[in-house]
Amino acid sequence: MNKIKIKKIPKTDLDYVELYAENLKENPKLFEQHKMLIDSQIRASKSLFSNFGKGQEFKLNARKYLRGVGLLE
Amino acid sequence: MKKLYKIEKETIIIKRNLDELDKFVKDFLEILKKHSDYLIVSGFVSISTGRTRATEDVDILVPVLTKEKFEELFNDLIENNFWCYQGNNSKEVYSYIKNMDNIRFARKDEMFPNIEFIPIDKSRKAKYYEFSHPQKIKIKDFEFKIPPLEFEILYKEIILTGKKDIADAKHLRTFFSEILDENKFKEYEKIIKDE
Repeated sequence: MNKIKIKKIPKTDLDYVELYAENLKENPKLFEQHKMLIDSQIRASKSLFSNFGKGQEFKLNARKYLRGVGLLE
Repeated sequence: MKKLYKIEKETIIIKRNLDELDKFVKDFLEILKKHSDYLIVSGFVSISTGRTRATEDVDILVPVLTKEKFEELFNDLIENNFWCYQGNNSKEVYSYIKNMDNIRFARKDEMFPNIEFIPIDKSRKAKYYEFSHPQKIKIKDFEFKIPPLEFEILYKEIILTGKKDIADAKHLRTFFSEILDENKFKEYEKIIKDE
């Protein structure tokens, strides 16, 4: 089993980013976790907007939503 | 222990499996590449090299296309199950490209992730520089172009400067520490600060 190697105790967010990236170089388990997180985000996003319908109806609802959140003029 | 990336013929090879975000970008690029050159920048550069954070969009620089070329690309994307936030036909969407405004594409009946399609020309000096000096990266059978790593890091640290950008830069600095070139940092810093 690949364990995380800690050279110094992380304190800030950036310390954690550094710790993760340092271990990621040699630990394939971390890339498996990375894939799980990304795939899970995509699945969640799909289910969040699944009630917007299909085709033209989806586009209509999506554009209304996007205008509401400022992603579309 | 062996590193999970290596350099082969100037291409960075990352040893990991493709995730759903990679597959989305790969599908988009397979169509885009038939019509235009491109460069992937910003968040996806860090995420594809292991930065573990969520993203909603993937930024791609594309040189400004003629109306005819854009129409061919747009129709190809629609035929291949993408849709454009800004409009349903190429004529109405081309006005954005002409004005150098970004547009977004997602898969049919989906909102996120999306491709932020960023038109560029030589007037955008820093962006045009990175576009003209691509670094190839490969994950399994998915090969794509990103800016030189040093350029991407500095752009995030000097221009973007948001919390996630600084963290992305830290990730790239750490993960690729063995191959980053100090001379390139000096060279690119001038170009970016001139923007």
